[in-house]
This record gives sequence, C-alpha cells and structure tokens, in this order.
Amino acid sequence: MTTEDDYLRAVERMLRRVAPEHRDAVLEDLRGHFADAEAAGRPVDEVIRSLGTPTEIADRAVEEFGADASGVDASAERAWRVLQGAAVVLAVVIGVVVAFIMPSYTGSVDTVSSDGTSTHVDTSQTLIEVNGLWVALIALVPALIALVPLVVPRRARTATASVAAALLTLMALVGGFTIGGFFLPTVMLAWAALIVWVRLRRSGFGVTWRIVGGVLAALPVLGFMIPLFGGMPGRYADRSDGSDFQVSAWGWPFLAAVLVLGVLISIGYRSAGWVLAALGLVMLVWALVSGQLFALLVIWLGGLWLTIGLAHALTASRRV
Amino acid sequence: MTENAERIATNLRKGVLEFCVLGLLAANERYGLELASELQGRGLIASEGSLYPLLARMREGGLVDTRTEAVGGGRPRRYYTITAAGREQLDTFAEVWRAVGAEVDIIMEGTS
Repeated sequence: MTTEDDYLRAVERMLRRVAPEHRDAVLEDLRGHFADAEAAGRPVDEVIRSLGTPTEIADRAVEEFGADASGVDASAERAWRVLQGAAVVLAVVIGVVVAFIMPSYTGSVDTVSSDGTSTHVDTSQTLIEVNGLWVALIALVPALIALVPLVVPRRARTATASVAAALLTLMALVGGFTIGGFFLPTVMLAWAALIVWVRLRRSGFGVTWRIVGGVLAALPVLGFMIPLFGGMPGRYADRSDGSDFQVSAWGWPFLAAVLVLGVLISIGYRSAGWVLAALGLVMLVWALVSGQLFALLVIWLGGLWLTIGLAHALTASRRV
Repeated sequence: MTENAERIATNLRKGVLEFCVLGLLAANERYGLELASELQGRGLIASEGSLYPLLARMREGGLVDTRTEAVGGGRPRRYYTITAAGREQLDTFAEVWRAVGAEVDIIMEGTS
C-alpha cells in the first residue's frame, strides 16, 4: 500500500509541471490502474515496474500538454521572495536592535562624592553610544547583502543569491564573537530561500526533505530532553543537590508541541509550518527585546524554527 | 532489439500510438489497465504509465470520452469510449497510413 502511495505521490510531485486539471486526470487513471491491477491479482511491485518511472510519465505529460511553466514559476517566485524578504526584514530588525537598543557594553562606576558617600552605578551603553554612528551602521550591512538578490535581474538571481548567502555565512562566522552571531537567522533564511528557489523549479521537495526539516525542528527539543531522561527515570534521579534543571509547568506542553509540529511537517501538513514559523518569530522577538542571558541561543532557535516553518509552509504540497 | 532499433521503433510508435488507442476503442470500450496491458503486450508502448497523459490529452481534445461504472464493491471503474470526432480522426489516419505505408513499402522493396 505504501509503495503505491509513494509512487502516486512521486508522480504528483513530478506533474507539478503540468496544469492541475491534467494532473488530476492522470492521477485518477493511475489510481484506477492500481485498483484494477490489484483486483486482477497482480503484485504491486510488478505493476509499478510496468508503469515505468514517475519521470517517464511526467515527461510524456509535458510532451502532451506542454509544461505549465507559469504555474510552477509563480509558486517558486513567491516562495523565494517571501523567504529572501524575511531574511532582509530580519537583518534590518536585528541590525537596529544590535546597534541602537541592545546594551553591548556594560560596566559599573563607583564615585565618591565630596561629602564622603560613595555611589555605585551600573552602566550600560549601546554600540552606537560607544563607537559612533559609522560602526553602528555596520550592523546594517547584512540587510544590504540580503537585499541584493531581490533587486538583480532574474537570470543572475541564483548566482547572486549564492554569493550573498555565502557572504552572510562568512560574516556571521567571523563576527560570531561580537555581533555576527545575532545574524544567524538571516543566514539560515538566505540559504533556505536559495534552496527553495532551485528545488521548486525542478523536482520539488520529497519526503526526505520533509523528514530532514521535521527532525531539524525537533532536534533542539530532543537534545534538551534526552539529558533529562537519559540517565535514569526521573523519579529515581538524585535531585538533592538541586543541580537539576527544572522544566516549568508550561515547558512540557511547549516541548511536546514542537515535537508534534516536527512530525506533522514530516508528514507534510502545511499548517504545521505556519505554526512553527510563528513560534520561531515570537521567540526571536522576545529574545531580541528581553536582552536576557541565553538570548543568543533563543535567537538561534527562533531563527531555526522560523526558517524551517516558513520554508515548509511555502513549499508543502498538501493544502492543510 | 539493439539500441538503435529501439530508438527507431520508439520514434515510429510515438506517432501512431494515439491512433492505435482510437482503433482499439473503436472495437470496444476499455478501461485504463485493459488498454495499457493490450498496448504493452503488442509492444506499442514501453511503459504503461505513459498511456495516461496521452489519454488525458485525447479526452481534452474530444477524441475519447469516459464513462464510470460501479464495479462490485471496489472503486468505480473509468471506461474510455471513442467519440464521433475520434472515429473521424481514425478514418483520416487510416487513409494516410495506407498511403504512407504503401510508399514506404515500395521504397523498402527497392532497397532490399
């Protein structure tokens, strides 16, 4: 049963190149073909072998109907613009926060006034206050780089987007110890945009891609839970030293929800992508404004979920 | 068949497949699997799957039509039937085929 479904899904994916009404007609006939063959007692793998590969069927369909290039192109164009646009917007927001709002320099000043009383003042300054406008503007360079592929002519797009993504990666790595790390979400979105642009105009995203996406989304959660459960069952664990990390009451449903989203993405539900993207965005914004310890980790995690969620929502073939 | 012979056969079959489908349907309505098995058995198609895009295009072109029939318990089966336009097309093809075939035969006899 699964092989038949896999086969039909592969054909459906390949037939994205032809108009929907023709695609539906071919798929309907193939389903009937499988049903009749099964009724005639033919084994599924033999049926699939004599049907030929999904690519052969798709090639024949393109020959018969001509490629409905506009449809595929429009969806690839849209998905790419949304992802690349998100990379730009995020880079602007992060750049502004990093340069103008986030206290990058902290210190304390002790002053002793003339009457002998000493006062202790904690100071925090932003990048622009310490280094001036020009250095602060460097924080906006990633946004400019991410913007370039959106304005170059279409035929130069793949090359420009590749260079831009590589440059952004380099900046994030080189500047990783200062402000570079904050731009990792932009880097992820830029790569996702490039992959979506290239793949969506060819064979699209199959089950392997979806599983990789789902696992990547769930991995941080698993990595977080395994140490909690890994050693021994929780109730036998020695918590007397109080070193155990406690997950708050809200934490568990949250972690479980992300796991479920990962599974739903692997199955191919589009809405799971939107939910994960929204979750990632909320975390990102929260981390950017809170400026707490571990904010950078939360920004990375939020960026990862935003990227996977958005890319999945824009490319999933199931409508729900 | 050698690779070269296979290529020649593939090109020839491509041109006539549509009319073979019409010819089979003119004799009897058939459902997809039936048609596919018949054509493959006669060596007219390499893979059965490639028949369905052709059928979809022929239906859109009004050469064939479909009729669904409930089969005991299972999913309804889709039968392909030939239309009046399809018969007309088949007649035209038959004429052309006879003329072309005759000329090709004459030339081939001359070379052998």
